[in-house]
Formats: sequence, structure tokens, C-alpha cells
Amino acid sequence: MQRKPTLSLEGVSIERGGKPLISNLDLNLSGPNLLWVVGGNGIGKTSLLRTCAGLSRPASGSVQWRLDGKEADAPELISFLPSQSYAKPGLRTSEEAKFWDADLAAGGITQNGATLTQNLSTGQAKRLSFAKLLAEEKPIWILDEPLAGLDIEGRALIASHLQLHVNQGGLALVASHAPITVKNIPTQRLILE
Amino acid sequence: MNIIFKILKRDIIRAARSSGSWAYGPVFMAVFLALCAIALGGEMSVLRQLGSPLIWMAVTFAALMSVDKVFADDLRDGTTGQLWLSGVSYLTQAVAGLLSFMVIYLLPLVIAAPLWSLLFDLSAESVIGLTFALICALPGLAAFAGLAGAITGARGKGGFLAIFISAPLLIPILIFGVAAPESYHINGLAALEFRALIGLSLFALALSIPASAAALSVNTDR
Repeated sequence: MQRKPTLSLEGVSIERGGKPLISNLDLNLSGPNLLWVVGGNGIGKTSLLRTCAGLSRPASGSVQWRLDGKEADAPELISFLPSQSYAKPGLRTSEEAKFWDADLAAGGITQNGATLTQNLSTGQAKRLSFAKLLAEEKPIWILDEPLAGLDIEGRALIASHLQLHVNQGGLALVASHAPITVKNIPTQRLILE
Repeated sequence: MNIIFKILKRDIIRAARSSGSWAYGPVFMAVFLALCAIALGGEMSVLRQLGSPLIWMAVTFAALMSVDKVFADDLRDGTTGQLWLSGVSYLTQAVAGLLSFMVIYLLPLVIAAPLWSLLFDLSAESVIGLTFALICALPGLAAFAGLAGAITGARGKGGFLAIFISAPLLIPILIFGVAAPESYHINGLAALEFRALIGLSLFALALSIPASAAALSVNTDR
């Protein structure tokens, strides 16, 4: 990945249900970089990630995305892995993957192709979501609890892809209660209190 | 265009495997119309006169009952946002959602209408007129019901609110739709009512597609 993605937050305040979660946050991140978003339950990690992905509007302030210094829209740059699966019940895993042009092998769930998505385990559903994220090939990854429900092999798979993504110049924002070991990449921590 | 057909195909597959949720509408129509026929005393001269209006009401109620099927699933599980991030605009999603709703939930109602018209001993011409009127009104019904679904979708229990939003919009369609079968006897498909229904359907689409897209955008922000 040659191109340089940038994510900028200026004076961002986030509210949920009328309750202020984050106030006046300034953040300027460029790839290659990995940002850990750390904080307790209900502190606003998911809301912050959704705001960074362009899926939620901040109560005040602005979010900007750039590619090689040029302003861009969120869909051009961002892939978002939500904490919950968004696979459609009633579809087979292979059908769901095909809908999103995803490769099941990338998530290590080729053997589950014929399984209906509602019958996947939490970990298998997470692998499917991750395969969909990989198919997007976007320079900014935003991952909300990417390890929830995954086995050791699944965690290693995500860690290796994260390392590769950042080493190729990508930017990743990750909120996770479970520790991930990703070595030899520039890493920052954002602690929400 | 490709993504619209992908979404349509996905929704058809899901509906086919959903233990018949798409069939609630036609079944509701059958029950509603049978009860109406019994309540009206079974007098054929009365039933013949009220057949078309009652079938129109049944179709409208059945369409309104399915409103929460249009965009609700995609909004609740986050698919709407994911599709937007993968480059599918809210406008495209609105078109795809309305098309899916029309094919899966409304088309069976139109197909069932001639069958249920047997209850009212309607003439062949009236049945043909009624069916054509329903076909002309189909996009309009889908558009207004879909708009209500886009506005209330993420709330989960917005069915009642959806009825309040879409019912006033459906009144003109109902007025011309009820009159169409009778006009068909005189002027055939050239009757004013059919042109009015097509016009109303086009108006409904022009209004509902951008409005549904805006509602999807707002409802994605949760």
C-alpha cells in the first residue's frame, strides 16, 4: 500500500442518549499506525469508533478523512468491523461471503460455507465479518472488539493481518478488551476515562 | 444496478427460507375478506358491489402490516451502514429496498387478489380492471409503505407510527384504485383512473426514494 491515509478529529464531542461520553477530542492519525482505544465498558469506545468510521455524527466538532493529503469520504477509505455480526440469517455462509465479494479462506472458514449464518458460532461469525473486511481492501481499518469469541488461531490470524496492514502503510483503530500481540509496528494508545 | 439485483436476490432467498413470512399478507387478505363477506350477510348483490373496495382495503392493510419488513433488518444489524461504507449509496439502498418489498411482499397480494375476488362474485371484467389497477398502484404502495418503513425501521416497534405516516399518502391511490374496476367496463385501460394511478405511483417514487434515503442515513446514526 503506497498511499497515506489520514484521520483527523477536531474538537469532537460525542453523546449517547443525551449523556456526554467524550468531549473536545483532537486526534490526528496517519498510516502506518495502530491506535489502541482503551477504556472501561460504556465509556464510549464503540461510539468513538463509529464516529471515526462516519457511521455516527459527533455532537460537535468534525471528522475528516484524507488520502495523500486530499480530502476523501469515509466509504473511500474505511472498513469497519463491528462487535456484533451483521451476517444475514437465512443465507448460507458462502452466499453471505459472495454478497460481500469476500473470500472465506481469508477468514479460515472455508469448511463452513454450507452452514446457515445463524448457525455459526460467535467466533466463526467474527471470522466471516473479518473476511468481509479484508475483501474491501481499504487503507483505514476500524475494529471494534475484533477478538471477541475467537480461538487462539483466530486471534493470531487477526494479529498477522493487522501487522501486514500497518506495515503496508495502513491505519488501524482497534478497541479490544482482550490483549493482542502485534509486534514491530508503530503503535499508539488512546485511553478513555 | 448490479448491487440492486444482488440485494433483491439476497432478500428473495431469505424470504424463501423464512418459513413463509411473505405469505402473511395474502393469508391476512383471505381472512379479512372472508370475515367481511360473512359480516355483510352473504348477500351476493351487496358483495358484488363492495368486492373491489374491500379487496383494495385488504391489500392496503396487508401492505401496511409488512412495513417493518422493508429496511428494518438492515438497519438493526448494521448492514445499511456497512453497505454505505462499501460504496453503496443510501439512494441505491432505498431503491433496492423498495424493489425487494414490492416483489416479495406486495406482488403476492396482487396475484392473490383475483383468487379472493371469487368470494364476491365479481365479473371477469371487474377482476381484470381490479388486477390492472393494483399493478398500476403497486410502485406507489411500495414507495409510501417503504418510506414509512425507512423512517420507523430502526425503532423496532414503529408499526403503528408507520401506519399513521403512510395512511394519508395512500388515500389518493385508494380513491382512484377503487374507481378503476368500474371505469374499466366503459373505457378499458384508457380510463382516467389507470393513468391517475400510474401518475400517483411515479409521484410516490419521486418523493419516497430520496426521502427514504435520507431516513436511512439518519437511522444509521445510532
